[in-house]
Amino acid sequence: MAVLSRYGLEPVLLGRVFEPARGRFGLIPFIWGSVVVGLMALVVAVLFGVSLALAVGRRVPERLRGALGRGLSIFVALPSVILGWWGLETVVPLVRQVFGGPGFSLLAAGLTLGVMITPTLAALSLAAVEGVPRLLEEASDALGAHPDQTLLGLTLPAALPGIARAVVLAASRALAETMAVQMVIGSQPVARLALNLPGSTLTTGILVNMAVWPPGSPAGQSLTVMAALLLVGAWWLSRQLTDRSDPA
Amino acid sequence: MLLFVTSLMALVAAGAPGHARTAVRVMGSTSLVGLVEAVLPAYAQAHPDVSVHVSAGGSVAGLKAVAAGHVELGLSDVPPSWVGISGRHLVRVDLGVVPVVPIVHQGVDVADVSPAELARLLTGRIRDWKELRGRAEKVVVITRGPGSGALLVIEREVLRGQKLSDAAVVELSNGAVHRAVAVTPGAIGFVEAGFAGGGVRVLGVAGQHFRPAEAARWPYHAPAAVYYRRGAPAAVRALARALAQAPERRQFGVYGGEETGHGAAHTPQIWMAGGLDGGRRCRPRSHAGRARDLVRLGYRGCPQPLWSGAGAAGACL
Amino acid sequence: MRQRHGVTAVILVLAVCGGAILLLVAGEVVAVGWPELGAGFRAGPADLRPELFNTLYMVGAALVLSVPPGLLAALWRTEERAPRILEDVASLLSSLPSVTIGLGLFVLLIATSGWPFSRAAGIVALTAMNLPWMTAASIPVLRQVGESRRQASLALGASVWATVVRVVVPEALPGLVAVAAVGAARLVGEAAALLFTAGVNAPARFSWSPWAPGATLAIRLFRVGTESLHPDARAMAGAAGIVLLLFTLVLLGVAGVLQRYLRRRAGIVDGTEGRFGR
Repeated sequence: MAVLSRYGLEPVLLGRVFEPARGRFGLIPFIWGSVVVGLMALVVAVLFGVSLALAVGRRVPERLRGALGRGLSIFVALPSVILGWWGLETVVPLVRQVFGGPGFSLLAAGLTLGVMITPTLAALSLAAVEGVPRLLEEASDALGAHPDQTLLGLTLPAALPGIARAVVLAASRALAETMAVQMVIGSQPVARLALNLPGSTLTTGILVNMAVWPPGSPAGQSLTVMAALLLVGAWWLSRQLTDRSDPA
Repeated sequence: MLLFVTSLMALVAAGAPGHARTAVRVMGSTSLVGLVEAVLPAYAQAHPDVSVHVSAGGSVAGLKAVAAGHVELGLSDVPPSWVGISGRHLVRVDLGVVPVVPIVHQGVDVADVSPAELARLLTGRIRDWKELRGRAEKVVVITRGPGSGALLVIEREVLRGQKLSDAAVVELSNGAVHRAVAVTPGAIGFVEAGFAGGGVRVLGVAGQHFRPAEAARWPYHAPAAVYYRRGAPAAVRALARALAQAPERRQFGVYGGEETGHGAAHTPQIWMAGGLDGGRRCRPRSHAGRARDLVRLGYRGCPQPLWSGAGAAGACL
Repeated sequence: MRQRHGVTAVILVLAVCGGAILLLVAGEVVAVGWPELGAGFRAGPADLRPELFNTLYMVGAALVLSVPPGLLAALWRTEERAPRILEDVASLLSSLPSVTIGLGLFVLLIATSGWPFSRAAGIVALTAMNLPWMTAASIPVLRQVGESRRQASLALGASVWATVVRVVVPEALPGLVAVAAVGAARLVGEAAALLFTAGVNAPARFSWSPWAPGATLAIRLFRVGTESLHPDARAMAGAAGIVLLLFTLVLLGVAGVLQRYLRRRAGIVDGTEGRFGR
């Protein structure tokens, strides 16, 4: 951590410029990238994933449910290299056509990652939705509630702790993903608001730089700080998980 | 967990001598890894008792690893001096030179640019091709990650201390740059010569277009070489020789022998790479007349190590 | 009076879109790789068999090395009330980016201990990835085993060990199989941890040696997809993608069948076999 003592905590953690060759090790671009890409991915995944869970769990005929659930589980294990490749073929051109810019961008990374974690979120949420007792819903229906009211007013809130757990797990997968993101993000270490331009996340920053800067050098140490930040992020997420589930 | 760590340690200790065959570890430039793979079948036949283990990682990683003794053979298209690595204990075997060529998307109708315009394109100061009398299309710069030989050549020869556009897309290999340029309208990038065709257009510089037959006259080169430590086993030296003599080199954008006068197809130049630190004195005698090209190839040495810290290294990037 | 099903409609549309996108991902890989799939199983530059064998070999060995200790660690936590830090560390490590595992093991094995880029080094990397996952993901599965059944077993005089072997593990087995299968699928698709440990070439001749170079299907997909000069590179990458997909499919399919069998034997039938998250 000599890089912190030599260059100071603030310039490293809050610096906006990462140019190791010129002695500037600001990590804000990577932190910003990880946060923005992660949030975009979560929005996409929650939208599709929770819908998939509710639809498969409550709106699809009984005999299809098993097959669909199993199908989702297969996509949970879809190798991320395949998703990165698909992002390159499909998402990057889409972003370029709709939003301009080079296509390789924070936005493309967020969307690709969102699709990647959707099955994880959907499969875990499905388990939560299926855990809601049928009896409660039948009672709600019997009291004259509209099916939509039952779904939104009862099933969803009852499954919410499980869905929250699913979101946290999906988020930690998004935080740690490297290859799929690297293939579509453009890897430029710059923090900016324009989401249609290239950016970097903590993981892609490590991947791009690790072969170049030796472990002992200041730049190498700044990579260690980045890995430590990722660990802190993962730790914080896992705390959300254990605090919610059980005290044991 | 503790159990796992201890058993891992035991495995590490027991493992290393467990392989009877000679192992040659190769690491370095992603573009030269392809050449190694092409040469391997014939080499494996001639040396059945040697097993070759290849990893990529880039030129700088390869140099670092071979200098530190982590691998037996380093593949690099930058000399150690460019990046502040001491080549004192290394032997260098020339493969030839790798021309670095600017490429653009098929739809770009600007045929060639001056070196100054190329620099302004790459730094992002020319934002639209219509500023160069082309069809209106936004310029998208595609570049390589740090530690790439092609990027170092462009930084030394074209940018000369200016910063690349901060909106540039960073890709990790020649192939990835080629692919990105091929599919992105208005894109400009640079690749090593093996990747300069198929789906992209080669951009001329100062009226000259890169042609394989005239590779010698092309201004931007990276010197491709393999490096091993002094006193390396015969198997390592044989692999280095096989690479230097491989007819497949051209296919991977490496030009040597008659076209450029650098390297040689049948008698590869071999010398102590340590001389590179001192600068020009290690120029191969047979090519004394091509001093300009040799300076271009980077034999002038790097004044400061690449990662020496604040400010210092800007000069040699 | 028309009943409005706005929410249902929105949810169904989103779900169909989400499902369609996922199917498109798989569909595109198949469409691109199909023409080269045949060449993947003949000698030549597109031959996939060495990579396929490496994938089987390395993932298999890593599972053998990581599943039992991972399960033991999880049992230690749930049955013996091992300190909570074990669980925290395991779940932390299981979300560690695999690229850092690859880098750490490059330093430890290749640079320091003189190992070649090989199956053995790749196996260590995959084991290091899967061990925390196996531990962290097994703990909730083991917790789902009813406390009353544990207490009944203990009250009848069974030792903790006997309770674990005869009650806890058999009841949790279907869930544990799912955890192991998802772990295996993660390993099959892993590239970042292997680039600097297993290497990027496959052995020239067939060999059983753990010291042979260890490029896997995922490495091949990554490399051929981005770096290759071969004119059919895109299709070759696609073919590697198809085999990778099929591999994952077979893996999870076998796990699903196994789960169903185990559940039937244990007398549980609820139609959730072959699922993740149970």
